[in-house]
Amino acid sequence: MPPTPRPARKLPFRTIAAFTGIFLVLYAAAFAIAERTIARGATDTAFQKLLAARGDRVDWVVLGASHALPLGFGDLPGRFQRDTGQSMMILAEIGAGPLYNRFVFEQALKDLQVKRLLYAVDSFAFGSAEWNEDRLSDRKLLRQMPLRLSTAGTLGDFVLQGYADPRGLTDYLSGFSKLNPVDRFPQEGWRGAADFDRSFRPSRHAVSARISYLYPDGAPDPATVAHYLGMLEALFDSAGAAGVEIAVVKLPVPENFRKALPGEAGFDRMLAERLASRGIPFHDLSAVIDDPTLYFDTDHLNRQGVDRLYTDHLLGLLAQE
Amino acid sequence: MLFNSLEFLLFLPLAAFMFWLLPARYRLPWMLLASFFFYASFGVANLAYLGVVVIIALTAGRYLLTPDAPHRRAVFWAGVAAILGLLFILKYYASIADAVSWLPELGLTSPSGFSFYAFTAIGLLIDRYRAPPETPESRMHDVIFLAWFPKILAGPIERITPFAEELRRRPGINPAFLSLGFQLILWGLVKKLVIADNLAPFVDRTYAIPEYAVPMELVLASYFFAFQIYCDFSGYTDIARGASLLFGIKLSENFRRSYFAHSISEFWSRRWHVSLADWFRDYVYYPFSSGHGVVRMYLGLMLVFLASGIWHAGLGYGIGWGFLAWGALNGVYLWIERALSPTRRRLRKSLRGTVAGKVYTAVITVLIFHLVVISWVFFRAGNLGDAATVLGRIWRALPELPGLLGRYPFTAEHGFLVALILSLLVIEAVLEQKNLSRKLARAPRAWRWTALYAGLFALLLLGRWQSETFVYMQF
Repeated sequence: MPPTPRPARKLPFRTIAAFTGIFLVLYAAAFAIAERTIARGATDTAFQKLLAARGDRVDWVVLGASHALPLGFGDLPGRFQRDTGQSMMILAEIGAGPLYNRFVFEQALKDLQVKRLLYAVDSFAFGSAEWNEDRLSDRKLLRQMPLRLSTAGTLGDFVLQGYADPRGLTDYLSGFSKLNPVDRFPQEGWRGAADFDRSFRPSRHAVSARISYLYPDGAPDPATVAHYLGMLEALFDSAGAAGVEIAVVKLPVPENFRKALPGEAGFDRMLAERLASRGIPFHDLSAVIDDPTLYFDTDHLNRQGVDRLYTDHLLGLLAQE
Repeated sequence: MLFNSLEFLLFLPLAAFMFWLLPARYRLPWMLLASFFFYASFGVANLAYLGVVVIIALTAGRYLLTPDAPHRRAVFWAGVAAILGLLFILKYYASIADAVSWLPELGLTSPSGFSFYAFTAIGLLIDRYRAPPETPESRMHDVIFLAWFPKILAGPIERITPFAEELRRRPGINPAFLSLGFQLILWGLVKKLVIADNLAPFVDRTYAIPEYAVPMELVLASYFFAFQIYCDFSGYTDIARGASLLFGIKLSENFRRSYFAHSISEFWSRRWHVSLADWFRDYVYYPFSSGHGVVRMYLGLMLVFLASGIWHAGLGYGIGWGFLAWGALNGVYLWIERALSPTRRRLRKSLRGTVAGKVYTAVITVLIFHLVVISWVFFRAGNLGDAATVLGRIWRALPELPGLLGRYPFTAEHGFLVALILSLLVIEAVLEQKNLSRKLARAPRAWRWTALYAGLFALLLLGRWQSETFVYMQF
């Protein structure tokens, strides 16, 4: 005898709708709480600074990766304002390549009246999608980005242009990374401002580990570098269209670190060609501070280092521009 | 498309919804199509491996249906040998070729879940050989039996008779099944993403170089791993059972609150990976031991656990003697338990219904749990050297551990992980009491929904959604 078929029944659609509705309300409440909690404990990321400074006029916006961050660890922008009467805002991000910087800059153009742009280049940031496309959907960065329609619009544009993963946009709009931190218990990592007053004891092993982290595949492929230089030019196009003056700089790194950078000469050549064709001034300050005691780790300036850079080079350079 | 990936969470409702929409006669082909699509998402070449096993199982299985066919025995053994041979080549050949210079490299690796559907196929051949079914054979049923996507990666290892019975019931839409399926998927995801995946980083860090870890970390990591692997594997099974229920198909339970076992034999036969234990019992242990005396019984127990150790070796946490040691240790546990069973029976009888009886049960449960934790060290360490380091360092520090408890710099991470484990134990203790879980099932809707929302928000707030693979998928 064949087994009795299980009787088919209708689905309780009203119950399912009620359950889903309550869930959505609870989710929205949790999202709102997470958004407020993160905003309260804001850690000065580029997007948080932009939200706080909406409508301001800024003479210098500084973009780049982590080498530009120490400029904001002390009170360099305040000192610069006192010395020159000009304002400065550091919008660099850890591990940010030209694509991510373009994303930040698009928001800066919406929020601020920007007069000049100082872009601090690092060759590693032109070598891989890890520092560019991947950063746009990096959950740590998304967690720190306040929910704003204008930011969502820019991120949406990047998705449509194929630069950003749609999952990053979904994450941003749904606030998932704000509800669910990707690194709940971070292990030892870059402490940034917390180490700003330290002096680094030179270590060949630490330099080699850092270079392997920044350049996991060795010297960047010239085609990839050319691709991301194109991204940098797109950023400059946006700046040019908004009437923003541009200067490019390479910030100091210790000699042993600089010598270990793979394919640096090739990158410098390619960068110089692009900048020269556009008439953008380029200041290579990478070799101006070799003393390792002026760095708090393998390649980031400490308080004294930033002070030296500012007094001996940056102040004159920015005032001249 | 892992069970804990966004892709799967989109694929599953879509596949189930299409299944409900289709007329009954197209539902089985749809199940098959969904299964092939799911398995191909891990690599289209995987379908070729599955295809080979399906062809062997179907060809030999069809021949075995005729009770008086002239070469039944030869065909049966040829089918089993072909599948076992393939399993051996895919799992172990590359490691052997690495060690033996004259062996050529074949460049073959075991696709996800191969061991599971290979064992399922062998079970099909054995069942057909022993007792050809009375009901007519359906090729469609057999292929779905082997390829059914919720169970293809890590079981449960089903048997053809009950599974085909499920298919013959003409699976269809059923709100009770949907509700239960949803609950199982949710609970499975909580176990996997909230508990197992949060425990994993600590365990991985500590076991990476055991020499660098302090004894307290080794103790914690060993306990944590016991819960990690339980939540990883039983979580997978819950999701598999829940996903299957969305199509109206019941799969076997496989895990029953494993660390509440009162004996090693109960742990293996009724609480941990039950479908594999049943497979080994019916197809290895009974044929080898049944009716052959005490010595064969003891040898049979060890044979089963050594075979299980070999089955686990090859992939997962590395290739090595650790898995064999894990199997052998469990075999030894069972030997001792069997040898002591008359004494244990007498003791239980004399303590039944007393407070001392309850204390005895609690002590035995804790003891069994610790014996299992010790065996997991061999499983997790992957090689005997690391396992010896872990156990040796813990053993030497044992007298100081109570003192170290006060001095060890416990962090928020430790507190969080312990809280997760305690929550799991509380929930499992409730589920273990059948009356209580029945009462909860009949509780007002507000209570049931609160529990569901708690599960959903635990997933959203505490889950690690970085698509960590399931441990047992690698075996």
